[in-house]
Amino acid sequence: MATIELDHAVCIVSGMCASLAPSLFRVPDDNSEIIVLQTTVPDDLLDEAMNAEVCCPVEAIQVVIG
Amino acid sequence: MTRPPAVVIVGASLGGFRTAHTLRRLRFEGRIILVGDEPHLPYDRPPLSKEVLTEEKGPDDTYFRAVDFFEDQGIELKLGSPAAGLDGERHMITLATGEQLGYDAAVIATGARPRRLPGTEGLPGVHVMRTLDDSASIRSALDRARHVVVVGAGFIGSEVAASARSRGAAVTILEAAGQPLVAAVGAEVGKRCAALHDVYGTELRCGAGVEGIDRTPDGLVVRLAGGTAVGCDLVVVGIGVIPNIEWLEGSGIEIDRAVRCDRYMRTSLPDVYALGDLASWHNPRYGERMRVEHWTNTVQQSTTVARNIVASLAGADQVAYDGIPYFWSDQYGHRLQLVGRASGDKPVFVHDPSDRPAMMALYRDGDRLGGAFAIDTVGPLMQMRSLLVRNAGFDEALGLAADIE
Repeated sequence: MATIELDHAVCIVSGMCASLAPSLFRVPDDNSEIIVLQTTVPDDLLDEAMNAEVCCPVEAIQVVIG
Repeated sequence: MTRPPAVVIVGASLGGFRTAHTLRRLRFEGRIILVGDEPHLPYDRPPLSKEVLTEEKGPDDTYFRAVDFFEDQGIELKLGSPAAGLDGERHMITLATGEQLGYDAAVIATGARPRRLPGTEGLPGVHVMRTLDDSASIRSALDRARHVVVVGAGFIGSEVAASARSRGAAVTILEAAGQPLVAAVGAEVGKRCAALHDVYGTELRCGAGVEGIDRTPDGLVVRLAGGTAVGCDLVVVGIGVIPNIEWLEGSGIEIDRAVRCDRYMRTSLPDVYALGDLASWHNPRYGERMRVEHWTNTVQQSTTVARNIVASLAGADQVAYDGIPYFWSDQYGHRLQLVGRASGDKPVFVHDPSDRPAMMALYRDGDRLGGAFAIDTVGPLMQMRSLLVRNAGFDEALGLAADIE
């Protein structure tokens, strides 16, 4: 079981996460703030979640593997 | 009692480091041995041609983690210790020191090294840009350099040129091809990238093949085909890389200029995986074999490899890697990005303001979107990446692009 923590204060809405893990993150039409679609990561999306975490240009994402 | 399984990862750069870390995050409890030929702790390369050269970051700021991290995670480091061979039958990796490491799974992540200009090896003042040490020497040479020649107008060469300009040097880029970046992004987009150099006062000479470099009492002289020459005091060569795969000769691993992997990033030997610059693999998304030399690709492949090692030890199914190519380059304060592939005949410029270098162009792949290239148009570019994930049509991409301001 893994969960996503996104630090909105650090996030620059680059959209990298949404492109690597589109089932977990979305960039809203107004580009205001990344939406986390599922805080709990299904097992089959763990790879995508970890890629989004590592590739985030400002390290705003933490995937906590419980 | 059985001994715990051991994973030996050869190559301690991005791919090796990420594989080791991800194995631990996936609760792999066996031994992890990370072998690297450089003496340094694993470090990140993208800043080396940018912030390290411009002195916004120190060379030491590029380390992924301090040594404590590796101790805490139980990742055994063997640094300054090149690998010499792999024996698939005995499941054994031999280091140049003669030390032998048995593995249950091995990962080949030895990356690539820069191509050099023949006859210039060891010539003082002539550098390549790949390692932390390369970056540190160029950085310190830029303290004194007044005129820098960069050989090769690819993305690395262009970044070095931009960094050198910002340190106050006069910069000349010598590109052998008639036009830069044609293979990477196509002729028209390549022209836009090249135009940035002009805006910031870097001289770009195309069709300028380098014959040789001489050292004179006054500095360096770069001799060009056709008899002309360029004097300078520092040369940085950025003309591509060569995969570091020679050490695998005789291992039985199938090699075809790159290490050949299947869709799961497995080599032709059981329990041996490969990733990053040196690996070609069958990408099921495209139905093609490809090899990608970019940062994000290596991160994604290391996740896949770690996942597949854990799955294989547990007798579970392997996961295929179907990543979409992506890279970025930072030059003169501008961000250049390509996602997908520069396919089709002519890209369509969907965003092209006249008052600044910003732009976005879309590449067509039949009736689908094939790729997108952008300068300073980060949000929309990432939206295009999302369209590529679901193999969206070209018309949908054009519609989305119509809203860019």
